[in-house]
Amino acid sequence: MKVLVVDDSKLARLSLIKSLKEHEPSAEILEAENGEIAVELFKSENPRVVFLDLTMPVMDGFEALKLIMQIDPKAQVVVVSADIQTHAQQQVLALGAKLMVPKPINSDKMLGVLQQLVF
Amino acid sequence: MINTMDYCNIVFDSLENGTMIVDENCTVWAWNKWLEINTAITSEHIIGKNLEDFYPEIDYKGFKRKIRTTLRLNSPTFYDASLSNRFITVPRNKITTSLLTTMQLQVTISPYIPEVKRVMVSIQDISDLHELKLTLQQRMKEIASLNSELRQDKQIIDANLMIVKTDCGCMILEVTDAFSSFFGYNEAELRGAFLSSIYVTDTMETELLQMKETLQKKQKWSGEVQVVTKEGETVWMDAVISPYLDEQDDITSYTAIYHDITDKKRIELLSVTDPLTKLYNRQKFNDVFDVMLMRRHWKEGNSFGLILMDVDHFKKVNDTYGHQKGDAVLIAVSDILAQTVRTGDVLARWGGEEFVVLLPDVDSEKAAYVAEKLRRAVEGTSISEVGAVTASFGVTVYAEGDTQESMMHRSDGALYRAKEKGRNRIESLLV
Amino acid sequence: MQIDEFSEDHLDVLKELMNIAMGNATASIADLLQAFGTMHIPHLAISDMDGLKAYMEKTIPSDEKYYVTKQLFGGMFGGEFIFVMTDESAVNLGHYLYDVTAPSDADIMDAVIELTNILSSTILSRLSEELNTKVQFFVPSTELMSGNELIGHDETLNYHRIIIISTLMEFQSHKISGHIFILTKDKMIESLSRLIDQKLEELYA
Repeated sequence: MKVLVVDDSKLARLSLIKSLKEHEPSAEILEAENGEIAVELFKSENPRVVFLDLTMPVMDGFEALKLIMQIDPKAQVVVVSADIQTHAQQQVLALGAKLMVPKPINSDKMLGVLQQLVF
Repeated sequence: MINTMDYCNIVFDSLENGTMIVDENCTVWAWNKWLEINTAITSEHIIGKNLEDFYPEIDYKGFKRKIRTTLRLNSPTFYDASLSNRFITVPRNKITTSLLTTMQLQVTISPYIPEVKRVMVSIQDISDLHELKLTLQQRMKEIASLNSELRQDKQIIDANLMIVKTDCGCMILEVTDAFSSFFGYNEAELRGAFLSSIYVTDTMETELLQMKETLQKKQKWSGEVQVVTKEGETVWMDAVISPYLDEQDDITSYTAIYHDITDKKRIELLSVTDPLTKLYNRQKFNDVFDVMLMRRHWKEGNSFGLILMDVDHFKKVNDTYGHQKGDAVLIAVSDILAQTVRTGDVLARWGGEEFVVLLPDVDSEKAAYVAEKLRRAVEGTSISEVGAVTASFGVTVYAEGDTQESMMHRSDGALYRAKEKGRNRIESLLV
Repeated sequence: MQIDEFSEDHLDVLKELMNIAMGNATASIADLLQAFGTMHIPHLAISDMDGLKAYMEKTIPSDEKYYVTKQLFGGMFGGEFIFVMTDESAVNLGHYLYDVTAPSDADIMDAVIELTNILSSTILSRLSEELNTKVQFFVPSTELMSGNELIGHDETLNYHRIIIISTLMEFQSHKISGHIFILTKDKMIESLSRLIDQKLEELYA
């Protein structure tokens, strides 16, 4: 199963990947450090799940989310962000994200997220 | 049996600041000794009651919001309650200044028992700090207004006075606008140049020597200098040059102030010039003579001379040809004398048809030589209608102990002898 | 202490933790102001005093007036928290918090202190929590000053190593924004580095 992890912070990606691997050890991980690269990778690799940060340089999460949903309206995007404002959550869900999870994402939270996705 | 609450109270009462426990509705649950003393409200009186009953003037909307924030964040909230209605008013007992009559309070709200929404509010007296702040602000205002006055003064000075600052080697560091515009240079051209470059050094030898001597002695020098502008115009200035010394008494810089005395000089010139011949007048001559006597140490081989001369038969010229012609003779003689004397010799019209010359740096032989030269020059002059003109010369040289009178007397004697011996000749009379 | 003991990885960790902490703070203020805050990427750098001055000059135009709150914090992660807000933002804040058309100078000052309080306690508490350490808050002070007075002019001390964490707090709809600077120096950087090392160990365990 291909999973795309998008975040400009190496630590955030590593931390997320670690908790993901605990539950899905066989997952094939793709990494992107900004929205632009994320969209490119989504187009070429067609991952099952995208973990997307919001605050990134070059192209932020909101833009990337819009483009990804345009490419595949059935895409499963989980927004993982430091921004925990209700408004942000509403915006993101309205744009088509499946879930919004506050950072940092630990093993338990990851399990809860994976349970809500379709593989 | 001492219970927990009592322990708490013991601790609260020992604190050096005001401490109370309130809940989010502002009901008071503890009120320490400091507060009792400074508010005259006992703890028995206020505990269980609402703070609003005792201090209705406080802005409770803001205060309660701060309490909620403290509880929500589980973190202390700080604020400055210097102004009324921010928190309780505590009178200040200071008498020696009236700057602040109530205590300036620093308020800290800390979570106490969050489960029952209770917070600890402690107040700290920061009046002294505020007093210092206010005093400082006052001083800063005073300084700012002084600075603005200074700036104005500086602008006036800069525009009107010609001032130069140099380093100890006389290299120009700073100049005022007035100075640069007078001399026609811009600041960049002047900075780095030597101050002496503006002086007309050949007319100022003595002054420059004196200046050097005085300044080396670390004293202020003042005198007249002749300067030259960028355009080449020469101007006389009054100059005051002051050395500045550091703690080790070494010269760090010089400041020179110049004042254009062209007009002053013109007036002076009028007062020292004989209007007809344009030579120095007697007054000026006497002054120069004085200076010459005082200033230098004359020796036998290096002395100064005095020539007294007289136009021969002048009365006859006036009587025969009239005063206008007489004047023309005097002008012609003055001109030829002025052309013939050496640079540095001081020529003046003594009065009527008499002229005097001071000759620095001569011995008796040289003085006689110069006198003879002058005699021949006058002899060679011819005035229309009048014809040839001659003059008689009396020469003497300074000797130790001489005064103006003694020298004048001697040269007068020499002149008399010249007349006696037939006129158109020179006679010397030495000591 | 060698500069490379605080590596790119360390900076990355700190940046991410600041991101999370700022997220918390933004949500808090959003509640207070009933508005939506825009998140910005935090900027991190290691520099000296000259570098700090240059960075401040670049970020805060020197000729305008600002409400500047400075608060010290202590513990294994200790330093100085600075919040800079324009006069205009402060007035808007005062207007909002005190619900008056023309807030007085005292109201404005009070509002700025209140906001800074929330910002500093949320951010620093969260940062310390993530670093598994405790933080102690000291009394803040707020002044109205011009941009070039932010850093003292005494030439005597030059801290060789300063970590600068900075970001922007922005609430566009209410026209309320401000710059946040968290500074830590010399010995503190060593202990911070160790706290981050522990964090990285957890990650790689």
